[in-house]
Amino acid sequence: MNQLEIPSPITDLGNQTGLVRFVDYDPSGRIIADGGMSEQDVPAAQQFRLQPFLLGDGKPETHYVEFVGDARAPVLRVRPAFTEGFDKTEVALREAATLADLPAATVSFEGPMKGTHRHPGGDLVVGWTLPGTYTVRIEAFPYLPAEFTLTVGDAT
Amino acid sequence: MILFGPEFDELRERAKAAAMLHFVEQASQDGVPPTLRAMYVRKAEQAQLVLDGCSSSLIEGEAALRGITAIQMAQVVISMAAAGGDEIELKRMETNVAIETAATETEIVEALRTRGITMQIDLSQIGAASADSGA
Repeated sequence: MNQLEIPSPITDLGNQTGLVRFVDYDPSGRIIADGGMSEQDVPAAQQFRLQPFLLGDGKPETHYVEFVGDARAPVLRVRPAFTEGFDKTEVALREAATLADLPAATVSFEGPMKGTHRHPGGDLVVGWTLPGTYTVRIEAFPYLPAEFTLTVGDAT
Repeated sequence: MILFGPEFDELRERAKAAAMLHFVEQASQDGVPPTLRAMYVRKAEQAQLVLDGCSSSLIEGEAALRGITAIQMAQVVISMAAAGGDEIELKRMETNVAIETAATETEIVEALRTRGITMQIDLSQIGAASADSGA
């Protein structure tokens, strides 16, 4: 019987010699797996594999897939790093610290208090009612996660 | 502006709750199992009854075993019960007074810190993050 063979990619083997690197991605462009497959399996994989994938060498921590143009063609990109931080590292109680022009992000902080805030995009303007040192973590995909330290104290 | 954290009055109550937890934990570190602790509590209640002029088979029975009067036995039990608990309760009350007289958030935090008490507020659990759009 003539059976159609859908190649099974080999994942998590690092840069194994002789394999073509690829990444699996989700509709948001996040890489959900990476691995390798033999070159002869590539055409069949491109035709029959249900999981969207892209040939290229990328890792979830450092890369993402951008959808370019009207055709939304997937392109493997390096995740950019934040170049800007908060406008100050020390603030008084209830005083605002601003991270300008931040894309939509999950903002989490840990210190004397911990919590999470979903930022819709735009300037992030935040303050605290309890003094102490806070580590603020920003997750704004496809940017690399960024951490900032803010010290909150009495009004000066 | 998004302002994270409780307002001053709520912070004060949270600080007192943190102090209570701290001292309850301290009181529990004497290695006495909960069942035995419950027996001690009952014994102290019975001893107080004896001192109030009532009878208690538990106190009278132990007094007979030890060859002392029920009143003497009751006094021993009450003084033993008070020895550990009173000291811890006094410390807790002293901490509460410091928290209540604190004029600023920093003073509240200091009142806890100097007594070795940590207060961790998890806003994701209580949903207490307040949003202040005015500032």
